[in-house]
Amino acid sequence: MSENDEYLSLFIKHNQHLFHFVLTLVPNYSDAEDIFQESAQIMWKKFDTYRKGTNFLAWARKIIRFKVSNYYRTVKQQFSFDEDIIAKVSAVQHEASKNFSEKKAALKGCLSKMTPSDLDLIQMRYTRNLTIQEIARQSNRSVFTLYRRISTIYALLQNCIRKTLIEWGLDA
Amino acid sequence: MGVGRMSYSEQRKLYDLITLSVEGTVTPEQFLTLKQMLRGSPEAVKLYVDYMAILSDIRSSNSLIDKESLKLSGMNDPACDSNFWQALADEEKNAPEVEIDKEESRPELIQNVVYTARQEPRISKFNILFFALNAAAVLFLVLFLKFVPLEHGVEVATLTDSMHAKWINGIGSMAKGTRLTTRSDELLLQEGLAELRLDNNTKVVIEGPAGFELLAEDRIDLHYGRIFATVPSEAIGFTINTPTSRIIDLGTEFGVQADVSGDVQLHVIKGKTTLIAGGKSNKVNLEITEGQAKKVSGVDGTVLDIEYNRTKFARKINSAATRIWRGENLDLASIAAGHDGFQDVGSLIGLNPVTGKYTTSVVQKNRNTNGRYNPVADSDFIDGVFVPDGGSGPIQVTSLGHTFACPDTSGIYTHEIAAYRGSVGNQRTTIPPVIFEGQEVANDAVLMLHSNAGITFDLQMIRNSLPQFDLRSFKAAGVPMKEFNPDIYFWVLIDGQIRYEKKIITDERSPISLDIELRPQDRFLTLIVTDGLRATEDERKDPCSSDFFYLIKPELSLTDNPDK
Repeated sequence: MSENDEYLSLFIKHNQHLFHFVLTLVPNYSDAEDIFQESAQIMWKKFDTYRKGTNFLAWARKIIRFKVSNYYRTVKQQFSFDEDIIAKVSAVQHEASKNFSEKKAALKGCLSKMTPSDLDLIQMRYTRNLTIQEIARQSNRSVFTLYRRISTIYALLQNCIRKTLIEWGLDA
Repeated sequence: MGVGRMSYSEQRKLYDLITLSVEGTVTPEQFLTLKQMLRGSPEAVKLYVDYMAILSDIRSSNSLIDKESLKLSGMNDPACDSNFWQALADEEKNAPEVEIDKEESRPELIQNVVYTARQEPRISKFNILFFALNAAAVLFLVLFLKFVPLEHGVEVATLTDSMHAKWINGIGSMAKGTRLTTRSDELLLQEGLAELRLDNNTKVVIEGPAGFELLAEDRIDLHYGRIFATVPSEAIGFTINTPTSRIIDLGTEFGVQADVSGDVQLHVIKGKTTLIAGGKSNKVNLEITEGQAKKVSGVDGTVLDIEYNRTKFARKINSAATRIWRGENLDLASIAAGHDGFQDVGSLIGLNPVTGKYTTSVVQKNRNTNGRYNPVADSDFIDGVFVPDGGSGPIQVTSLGHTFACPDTSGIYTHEIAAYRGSVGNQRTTIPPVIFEGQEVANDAVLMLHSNAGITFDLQMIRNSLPQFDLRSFKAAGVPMKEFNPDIYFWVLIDGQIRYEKKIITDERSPISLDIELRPQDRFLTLIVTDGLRATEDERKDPCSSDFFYLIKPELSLTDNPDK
């Protein structure tokens, strides 16, 4: 297998885990995307430093931590996580990623049970990429109401996924 | 908040803070509260991580929230009864009312944020198409696409035209409209040209001999041969793989030539691409933009600059008109000679500005104007010709009656309007050689107007003959004859309106350069040369025999309109 193919194989296998990792360290979604892209570029350039057969995720996470540290140095201090939070979040994220596929399947099931209006809101925000302000204008609701509704939706989804996994006999 | 289980209100508060952080509208004080919650509660950390997992999954996979696919997802599991969601929502509704900090309860505060939210692009950055706009992210597009090949036998393209195409591998000839699929073996075009439209609306012209494979609607493996791609905006990310490189479109037109030796050439005509080449020690990822060309060595993968050639590749074919377009512009000298603009002007042709007739000889002879605007029966693209003389008022310059306030001239013309290539040599003419920048013009097309003469081209008729193109501009270099004191006024009109004028052109040492934009609504292009102001009235009366004005390489630049 060529080096290209090997990198491809590993990256595609783990890219969702890695993006989730970035997002937990950098909760601003837009910044997280930028950091993920930059990290991936570094991973590609430095792929010759990865030892074949070893833990790719661990190697990639180190690169991401490095990029996130740089990000924290540039962003306002009040929006960066301290080392103790990073350590806690990283540990939980690593553990949580073990049921990745099952959780995604459960999520899909839970999404199918959403009310039409909640599904519309999610689609407007994440498929059509409307800003909250634009959705507020179109739906004649306040920005505040929409933020509250989105966080409610996440709470409901999280609860649903947890119950689904329990029903499946899995660790929630 | 203690180490024990979180209350409903604490959970709601946590989710609110996470939502504001994700959206980029969290205030420093709110973010501090979030950090305190994460620091103080393992459950908060778990909920935070779960929230991000859900967000990541939803945003990375639009199909997850696609209504159609959700209808089909149907689960029989009792945990997902149809009323389950409602039950969950009711559970949430009945939870104790969440006390929101005063800051958060005021809607205006959410809008009045300290941490300014970045404007998100319309297309999700995690969307694979948007990745193609960033040189680094393009890499992921490539990797992802390569990792997920389509199975064989999937229809991905249509053959839209071909010229003298001879296919081997048992295909024989293919009719227009044939659907092409992903295949387990390569397609071999032994000779001729083929134009394909991929299902993502990318158009490619393949010039044989060529061997290639259709991997998907947005990916082609080019083993050898030439291919030119015109990629519309919705198909950004279209990729051509060669044995030694990969070219990814970033919104462009580009040509790739792969030799059997492994050498690859890339010429970018419009927009930009990413070129990935090289081995482990010399891997490169370059952005190649309009007007640039690169060569990848088949030996060691090194990338070199090469001379850009905008007419190297066949970009459009028209089998009905037996025309191959390689990016050439329309030659106005060819049109003035009664041709279609692509046919070479060849030997000298003269067009009489009074009779509108063609002649093969252009010799000096004093003749008077007939005072009229005269049609040219033998050309669809020339609206008319005339001898400009404004002595009696504005003159007609188009068949639709546009007029121009031409200066008073002698009303005499001495030479036909002439079109030829390079030197007139031994042809029957009294036209002196063209001297441009100190050199005699030997090979370029020339349109010569001697005072007093005018010619109007019908741009709409030209457009009608080339429905797949837009006319972008009129370009030419202009220079009077060397020596013998020419004194010329020159105008370029569009629909009777002056777009360019230059008076008192007397010296070939200061040539003019024309690049006049053409708008879709512009109908007529008129070129006029008149005798200038001489020192004495007697000189004005005598017909001047030195007012030669040469337009060198007069062209209408074309752009391919992929939507047409």
